[in-house]
Amino acid sequence: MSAGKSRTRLWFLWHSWLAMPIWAFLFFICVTGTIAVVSTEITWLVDPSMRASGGGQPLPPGALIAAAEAAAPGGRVESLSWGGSHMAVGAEMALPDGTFTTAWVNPVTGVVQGLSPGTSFRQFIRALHGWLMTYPTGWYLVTALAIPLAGSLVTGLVVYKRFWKSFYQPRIRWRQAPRVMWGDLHRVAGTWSIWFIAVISITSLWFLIYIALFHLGIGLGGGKAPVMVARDQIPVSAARPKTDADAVVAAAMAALPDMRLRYLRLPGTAYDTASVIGSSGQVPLLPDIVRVNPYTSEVIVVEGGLEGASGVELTRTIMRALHTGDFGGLPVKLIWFAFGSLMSLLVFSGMLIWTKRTARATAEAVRGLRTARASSNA
Amino acid sequence: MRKFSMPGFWHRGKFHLSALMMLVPLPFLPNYFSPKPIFAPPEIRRDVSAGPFPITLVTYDESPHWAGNGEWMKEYHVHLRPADIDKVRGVFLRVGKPRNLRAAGALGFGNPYEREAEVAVPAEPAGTEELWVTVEDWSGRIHQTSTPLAGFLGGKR
Repeated sequence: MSAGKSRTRLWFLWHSWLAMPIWAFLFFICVTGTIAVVSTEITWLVDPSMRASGGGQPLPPGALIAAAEAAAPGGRVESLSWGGSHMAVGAEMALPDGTFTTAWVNPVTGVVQGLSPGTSFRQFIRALHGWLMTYPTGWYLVTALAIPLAGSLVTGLVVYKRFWKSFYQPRIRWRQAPRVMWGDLHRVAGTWSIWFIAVISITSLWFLIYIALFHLGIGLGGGKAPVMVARDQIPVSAARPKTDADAVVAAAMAALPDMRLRYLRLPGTAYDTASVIGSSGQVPLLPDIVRVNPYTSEVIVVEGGLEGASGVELTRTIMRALHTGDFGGLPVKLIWFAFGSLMSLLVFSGMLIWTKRTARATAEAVRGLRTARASSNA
Repeated sequence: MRKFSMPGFWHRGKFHLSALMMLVPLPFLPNYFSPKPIFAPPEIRRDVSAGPFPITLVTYDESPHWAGNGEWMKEYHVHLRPADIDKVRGVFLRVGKPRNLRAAGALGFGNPYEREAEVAVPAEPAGTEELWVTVEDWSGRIHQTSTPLAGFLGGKR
């Protein structure tokens, strides 16, 4: 056997063994991650109270807040999120018992269509996928999968000679033996997912590095002081002045007229600003954040875009957006969902091929060794 | 010749063992879906009064946690009377008496009925520290009070 051939064989062994001992765990994370991409869309399908017809003149934010607060005694709306024309506006509300609930308000009629207390499916599937609900141990376990994932990609490209042929001559022999069919599927799906596996493993590795540095006490720096309302600008009154949500949003939209409104966060404390978040699409992946004085409804600062954030914050935002596919609306999410499914299929088919071939090859090798030993002992 | 079937079973099954990782989240599921923690540690409550505002401070009976920035932190929940939540601009908590309002400590945030404050606490408490509560109302007046930190840190200490 030539040196080149045995080296390829070694790469192939690495490729076979990298994911196999953990395949079921990796598969689970791939599947939950794929579901997480479209978790909002899934709840939208399941829960009619989250739907809106899409037509008509939308109500101003103040009316939506008033409607939500009327639906829960003592409720205080802290944020509004707009998910698109066919989605009810989610009003996150603080309740007197210390818990939170989300009221789904029809953006046109102002009718509160339902209340979703506690944790949403979106948060649940994210916690399951991201940290197995055990932070921070689970976070490390999950993000460490970036290493076998990247390793599988690299070794796969080395052992699969002329993999680029799969781009223009994809061949899946459906009618052949299952082993052949699964092998073809694995190769074609793998080739088409190169970019996606690279994106997912690099972003996961970033999540691992990020949390490790945090726990080692090594600050990544770059954190800016939060924008606050100066104490001398806070009005003196007998009771809390109510934030004029309509004026806040109007001021933000005047500052960035092309922005698609996504989120309004009312001040969390008396010294906090109101934040309006949206995407103007000027810089892909990066949201725009407008901080507004909640008492005067004047724009304090427009954040976001390339110059707005430091390197670390920028990396964080971009890595998160790339990992979740949440930066270009439904079309991008659907692409991420499709390739997430393909990646789950890769893990599963890899396991099938392994059990059908590598296991047999290993067993044969061991048997051969035993026979050799037995004959030498004789 | 096969003497025992266990090794065969082990050989075939060992690479599927990582499926057991799926069991890890199971014990946390009920707690996750409950709006209030089910398996929460016992609470320690303290009633204080800052000027006209009676306040109940609540913390879990568990040790302070490492914040990653070299400090130990402890979370306290601030319960005001519902009638007071719109009269109070902010509630600040600090270990040791604040020198001025700029250094009043951790500001309570979140649900106005149950604000949370993450307070930096000493790694080695001497036992004589005081937890200072500073309340600023909407007219700009300051009301202060304090309570001994001893017995209010939680955990084994």
